[in-house]
Amino acid sequence: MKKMKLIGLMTLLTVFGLNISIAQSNEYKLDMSSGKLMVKDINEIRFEGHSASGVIITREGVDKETSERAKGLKLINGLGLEDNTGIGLSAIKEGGGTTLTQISSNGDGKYLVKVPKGVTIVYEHSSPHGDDVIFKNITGEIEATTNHSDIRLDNVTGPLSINTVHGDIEGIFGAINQSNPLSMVSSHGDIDLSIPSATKADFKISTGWGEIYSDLDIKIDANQGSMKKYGGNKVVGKLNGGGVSFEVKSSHGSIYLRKK
Amino acid sequence: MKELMIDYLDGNLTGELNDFVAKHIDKDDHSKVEFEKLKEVTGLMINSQELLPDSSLKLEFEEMLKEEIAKSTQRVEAKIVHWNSPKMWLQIAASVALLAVGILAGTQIASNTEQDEIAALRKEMEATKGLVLASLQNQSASSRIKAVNVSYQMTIMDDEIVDALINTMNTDANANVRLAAVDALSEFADEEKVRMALISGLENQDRAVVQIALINLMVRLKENRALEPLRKIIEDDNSIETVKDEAHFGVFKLS
Repeated sequence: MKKMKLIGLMTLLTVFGLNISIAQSNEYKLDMSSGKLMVKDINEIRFEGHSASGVIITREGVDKETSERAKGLKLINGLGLEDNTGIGLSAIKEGGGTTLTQISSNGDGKYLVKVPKGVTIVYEHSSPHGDDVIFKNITGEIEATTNHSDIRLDNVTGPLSINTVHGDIEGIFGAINQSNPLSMVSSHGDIDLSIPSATKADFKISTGWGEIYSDLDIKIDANQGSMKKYGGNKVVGKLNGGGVSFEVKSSHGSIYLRKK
Repeated sequence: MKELMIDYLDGNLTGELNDFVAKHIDKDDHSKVEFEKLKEVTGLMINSQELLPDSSLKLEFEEMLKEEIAKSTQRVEAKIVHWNSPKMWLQIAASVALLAVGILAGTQIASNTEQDEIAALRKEMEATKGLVLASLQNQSASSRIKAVNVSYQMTIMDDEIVDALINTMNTDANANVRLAAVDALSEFADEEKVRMALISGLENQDRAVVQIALINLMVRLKENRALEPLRKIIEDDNSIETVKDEAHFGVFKLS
């Protein structure tokens, strides 16, 4: 009986919670189909590709701090930015792009950003706090820079330029876009990537102090760099006759390249 | 002591230490010999710094080619004067002239095609260069990486390209692009200008990922002129902890 009551209560709470979120509207739409979407210092975020138009941002974590006192007021911060989206973010349009910044100093919002194909995502995160950043089903260009956060790629195609000081980079690739290079760099983290075995690519893989592991049939160019090899471990080679430039580097971590 | 002597030579020492080193060199015959050697070596080093990477080789070749062509046209004119010689010589002269004209024409055609090839190559280089320089300004980071990759497929390192790569290494908005530039520049690390840019790049750098890569590069190159900037990184309160750790490691490896 006690159990039944609990379930009932939980159901009620869920329905109630849902009603609140609908009332508050945790969604914000940016009307953009090209250019750069710059996202700065949002602690918990994932990006997903979608086929609809515009960028749709959804706040998933319910903001507990919003009190009666804050009613009619706007969230502001020291950078002179304010919450102009209603979901704790500042959105500023500049030079063909839009910059999103988190305003709340608690930074406890959790965001899902749906991005159409033509938009380039530029994500920067410098704080030591924060969760992994996830990119899923993205066919556009990705630029990501983090200090501590891990970067996870799920079914992405490139082009991409990703770097992190302490984070790991983990990725599962879809059919890789041949137009522009893919570059992934971590100073202290490991890099673990699954790549379709039919991919045509020119690989440049290097670690300063880690190891390189792979089961891909990369034809290693053993002469490359032999004249100018200054130590470290560097592999230059082609997969399926070569193609787009695919660069993977870690100064202290190891690199794992898997056949998908 | 050797280090102190180098500092003494460079005029980096002051006060008591300066006097101490001076006295030490003066007193000890062995030190005196070593000091003279050091002086010679540093002198050489300074001189070699002035020997900038030379791109004039190709120009010289072209100059030679032009001279050669000028000479051969003169020779053709010279043969034409012989038409006024006696009949007996006329035939010989004619045949010689014909032969000469033939050979000269042949070589001239050859040098023309050579010149065309050089012109074509040069045109291609200029086009590639233009493309690289323009693409380094591109909005997309991956396009800029592509430009950097193209730049070091060019066999002759061009000053303008080197400058553009140095600028990219120090200022590009994306660290991946900066690292691609570091990679491209490190291919030419034996050239003094590039080497110095890489060393000073250590200090100018504001991206930890790039700084760490540069420190590791200095260690691999055994470049102990990097010690000074590394010490500066360690002393700088603004440096982030990981970079300081890496700099400590670099100092340990290089000194």
